[in-house]
Amino acid sequence: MWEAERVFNAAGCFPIIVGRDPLLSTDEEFFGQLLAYMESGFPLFIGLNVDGDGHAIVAAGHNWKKDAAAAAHHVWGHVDTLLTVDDNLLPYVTVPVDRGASDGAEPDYSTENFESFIVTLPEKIGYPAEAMAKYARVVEARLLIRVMGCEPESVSLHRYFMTTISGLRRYARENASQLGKKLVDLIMRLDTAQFVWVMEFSSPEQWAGGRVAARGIVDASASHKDPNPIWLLHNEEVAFVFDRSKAELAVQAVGLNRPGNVPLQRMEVNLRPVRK
Amino acid sequence: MKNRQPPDSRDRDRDPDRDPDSDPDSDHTPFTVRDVVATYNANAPTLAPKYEDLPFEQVHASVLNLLPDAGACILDIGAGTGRDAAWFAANGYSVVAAEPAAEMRKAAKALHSSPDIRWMDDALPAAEKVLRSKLTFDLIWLSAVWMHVPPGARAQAFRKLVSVMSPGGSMMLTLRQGPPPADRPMEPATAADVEALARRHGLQTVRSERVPDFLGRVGAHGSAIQGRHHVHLLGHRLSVWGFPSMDQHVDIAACAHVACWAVLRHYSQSYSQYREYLIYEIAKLATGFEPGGI
Repeated sequence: MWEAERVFNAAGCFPIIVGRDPLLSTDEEFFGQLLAYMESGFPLFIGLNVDGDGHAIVAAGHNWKKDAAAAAHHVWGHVDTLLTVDDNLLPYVTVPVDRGASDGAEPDYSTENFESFIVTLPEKIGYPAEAMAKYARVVEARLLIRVMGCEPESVSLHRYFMTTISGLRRYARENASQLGKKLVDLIMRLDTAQFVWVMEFSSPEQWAGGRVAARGIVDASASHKDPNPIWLLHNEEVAFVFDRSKAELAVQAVGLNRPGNVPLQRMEVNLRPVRK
Repeated sequence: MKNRQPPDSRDRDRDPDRDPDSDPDSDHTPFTVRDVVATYNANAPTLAPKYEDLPFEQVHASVLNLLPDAGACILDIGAGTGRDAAWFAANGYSVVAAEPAAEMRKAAKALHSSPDIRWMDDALPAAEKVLRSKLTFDLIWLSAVWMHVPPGARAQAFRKLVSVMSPGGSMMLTLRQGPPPADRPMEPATAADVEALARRHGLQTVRSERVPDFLGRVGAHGSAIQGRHHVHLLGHRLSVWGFPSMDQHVDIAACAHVACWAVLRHYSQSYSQYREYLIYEIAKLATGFEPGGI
């Protein structure tokens, strides 16, 4: 992994190695970061161990579980397979999350065999997925539940991914009737960095229906020590706009006046459906 | 999609043969409605059993809770073998089923004869008979139809459909993604295309969702990071969306070299600040740090 990291460095990229160490993090934390970077549009160099032999593949996509009854409270629990490039199994192969699903079929490994991955980030990104995972928990407890009054169950499932501000604005324009005029205006006027993290909060039931209860926009160029890297947080009814230009964080609450009975949809902006 | 427009703002009385937004016979239209009808007439014996094998509740599970109450009037456009129309009729709805392919209508009437289904030989974009009927509909249903409407005629077709929606009515469209099969003329449409049309006509999107291919056409599936790659073939410049993959050159490269190459190849294609690295360059970069490779 270290040599691969140096290759990426020599090519002008900014690689981060994320290891899977049960003493330092849970599997959910490891795979949560893996999914966050992949959903951000960054292909991942994966190091894996197959019966004692090292192997390397690239993870470039995923497939959500179609089982609407899946009740996992972690977003990784809703992933069915990863779409990868394995030079032994060209051109693409789907790697199951469940070890049992790989029995007798190629590939002879599952995501259980993953040991570490490298993500190569643009220079301007300073806020890693690991920090986002922690910050999402803070936002859930301190803002969504305590201030906005969301039901804890309705915001228990966290998903986060990076995109560019232009990608976010394009999504807002294309989904204007769903988001409502006020929210589209807020997104268009956000004075953000080029890269932002998008956090989405939902219940497992909402996730199964492709819906979210709340969404936040976070500065991806912030320092990982920044206590409040957030620009915007909204649910279906109200948005909190954060002014980060001053030392003292200022918040403005804005009523969204969205069309009734129109739920917020999950954002899918960086990955494209695989065509056959 | 929900109709938010008052009924008097609709354009029912406009001339169906003229449309400022679209030109169905434009040079850019890759096929005509006539091509589509001819294909379905020719393939009805093989296609009909495939469609009938799929239960309505399975195919449309994600929108069942959005259906209007029983008794509502539904327009099923491109009704095919009548599977969906029959389900609606059996569940207390009043259905107008429009299907331009005579062979499909014949199969439909044989399979699902119901007094609650009124069949029409009619097609988009004009939907002349539907418009002439002066009926309005609480739900307009287009299952696996929109990709068969020539792209140049979609604006006109959408406008015609909106003009027969009841106030507060809904429209449901399924969009097939992926390249067309060789035996049927079609052109994929995106959810964003439909959302733009909906917005222009005062409709709001209530739900937009990806669902699996129930005919079992699987392979590499899901969503993937993709870049637009260009190739030149016999003087033609072609482009394709994809993610790079290559076989291992066993004399000089290991799996890790190939993995590095795939990532860097994607970056060089997608971002101008990165250049492409050939596999031997990557092997050399790695060898420089540790003789023998990664």
